[in-house]
Amino acid sequence: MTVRLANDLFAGLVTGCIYGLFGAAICVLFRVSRIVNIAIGDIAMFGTMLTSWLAGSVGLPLWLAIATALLAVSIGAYLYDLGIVSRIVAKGSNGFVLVTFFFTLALAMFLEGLASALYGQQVHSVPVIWTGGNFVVGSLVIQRAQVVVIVATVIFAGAFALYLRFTLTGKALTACGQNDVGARVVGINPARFRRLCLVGSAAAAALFGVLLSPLIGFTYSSGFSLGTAGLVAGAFASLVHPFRAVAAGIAIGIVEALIGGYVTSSYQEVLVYAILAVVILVRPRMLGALGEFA
Amino acid sequence: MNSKLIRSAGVFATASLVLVGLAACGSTPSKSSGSASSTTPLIIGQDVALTGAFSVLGVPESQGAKGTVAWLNAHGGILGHKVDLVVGNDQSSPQEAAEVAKQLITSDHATIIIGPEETSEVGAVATVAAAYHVIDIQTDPFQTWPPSEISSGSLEYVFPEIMGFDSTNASAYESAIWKAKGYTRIALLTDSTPFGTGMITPLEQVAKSDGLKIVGVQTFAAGSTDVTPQIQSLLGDKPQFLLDWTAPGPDTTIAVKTIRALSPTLPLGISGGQDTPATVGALGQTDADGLYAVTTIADGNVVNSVASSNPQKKIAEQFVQAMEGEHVNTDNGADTAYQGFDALYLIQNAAETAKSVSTSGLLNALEHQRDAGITNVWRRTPSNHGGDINLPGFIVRYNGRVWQYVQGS
Repeated sequence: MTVRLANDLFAGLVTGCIYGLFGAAICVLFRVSRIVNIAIGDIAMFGTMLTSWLAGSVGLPLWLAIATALLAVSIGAYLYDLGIVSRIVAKGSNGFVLVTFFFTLALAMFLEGLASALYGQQVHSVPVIWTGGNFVVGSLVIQRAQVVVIVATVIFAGAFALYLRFTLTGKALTACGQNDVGARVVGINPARFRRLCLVGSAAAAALFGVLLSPLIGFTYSSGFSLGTAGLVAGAFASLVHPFRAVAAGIAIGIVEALIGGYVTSSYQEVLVYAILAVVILVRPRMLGALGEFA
Repeated sequence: MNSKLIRSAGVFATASLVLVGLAACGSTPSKSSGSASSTTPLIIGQDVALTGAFSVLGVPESQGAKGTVAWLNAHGGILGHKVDLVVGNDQSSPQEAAEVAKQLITSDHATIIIGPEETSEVGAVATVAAAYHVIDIQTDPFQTWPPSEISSGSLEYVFPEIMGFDSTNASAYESAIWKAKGYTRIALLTDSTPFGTGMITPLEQVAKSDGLKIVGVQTFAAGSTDVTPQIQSLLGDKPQFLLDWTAPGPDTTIAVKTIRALSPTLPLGISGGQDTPATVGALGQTDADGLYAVTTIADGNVVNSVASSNPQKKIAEQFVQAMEGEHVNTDNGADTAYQGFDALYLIQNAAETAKSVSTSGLLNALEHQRDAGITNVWRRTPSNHGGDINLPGFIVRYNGRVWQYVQGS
């Protein structure tokens, strides 16, 4: 029983880190630009499929395939901001959040279609970057890919915390999120930071996908569920607190694992989201700034 | 003067267009009138998922159908009629499947429909086929149309290509592996798709008739990122063999990887159509090694190994030849290219029996069809359009290099 609980908790921790990472990526962008990027999961999917193709079919060394894919995703995000997002911002809109949400939804569908056309319907995964056998502690089995995901979560969350707190650009990012008019008054360019966040979050998402793919495998349709899970984690952080999104994601992952292990496996996800809905009804302030858009 | 000239030119142009249009209409043969001559192409519509969740089944099936059509037309067509295959993408949606079927019939003038390939869509297309009196060869392996529905008229035009697929797959594992190795404690892991849960009842029936014990059944939501709780529950039941019956794709990937992590030596089998390099690539050599999979006689490793007396061997060799000849890669994910082949083979066989491609002739021939395809061997009757005799499937095992046929299946 103890071993089973430990395995379930560990698996839930890993799943939660995945949700939390995507939630944090959504929060980072929303914090600066008020854009809800539902395409974050599909960006991760596309980056992973591209890496898999570069490493597998083209034959590049894994590190070069990852670097090339991240560069390609970053360039794509830059062009998307340049060509689409900046135009929406320039036009101005009363329903800015909704309008940009639908544009990112369109981006998600575009990436799905493109991945389907380029890479087909079968499953793709990238080799785990830390090769070797599983770790076994008693009867607790830990896969190396799981360790990589947890470490990536800690590094990302920690590095971002340090960046926001101790660097000038980090403080500028925070300023953009709190008051972009005020930020402009003091000489901060919100558009530049928005683009930086979009490119950075896209590259980070692609990297998360690469680290995650040895565990779950990706098809062209895998991204949307990841983006949705990240959105739920981000919602519990008001879409502006990346660290709370990571914590929320981990909590959701653990609750999901415990329900699957001890309540019901068939209706695991249904119950998890039902619980989340009840939590929001009881404590709507958890959604924070999102209440403005309800 | 100028306005008169312009008006005259306009009248002349309009009249010319009308005359040209009438001439074009007159020269186009009406597909709804009279019987087809051998110069009239036989238009077959394929209602298949090229996008969406079922595209992993639909795309290879469509490729198989296209390759078969090319091969047929290179060998005289069907009763001398060139075959035109019109493919419609149902986007893995039942509503879209019905719309595609209607369009294939009304706009593309298809006289036969093949597909769809997924359980949730078959009812919608069957309704359309009945309404338009068009034969529908359905390629979904899990439907169970009762004879009463056929005689009532709602399914009069529907002919399943496969029926009872799950029971033949369960029987394949039972005869080749479980009985041979003395395994009596079997665990089943499925996902929440109809494909996955469709195995529960057939496996229980096979177990009941052969003295096996299903020690545990767990189902996880399709698309889950973690299935550790479900697998731990099954491992706690101490099975001798774990059958992972999940939809081809990420569900199988995460299930196999988690099972291998938690229990590296437990004998493990997966669902059909996944004995491919793509599966090995997704799982990795280590996790794929020793994995069992169920397949059809169309698998190259199987067709070369089975006895000559096998009633499906000849048609399987024809399939392999047709696909190779048309450079269709059948090793592209879920190996359902043979389903596209079999659907067209059924039509060809019925046309040759009826010596006609008319709907009534084909209908009568199909209702009395007695032949062997890749998907099964048929003994159809007017009250039993399924009519297959449920031959067990074939088991292969990945030995680190190839998927090798397991004798006894």
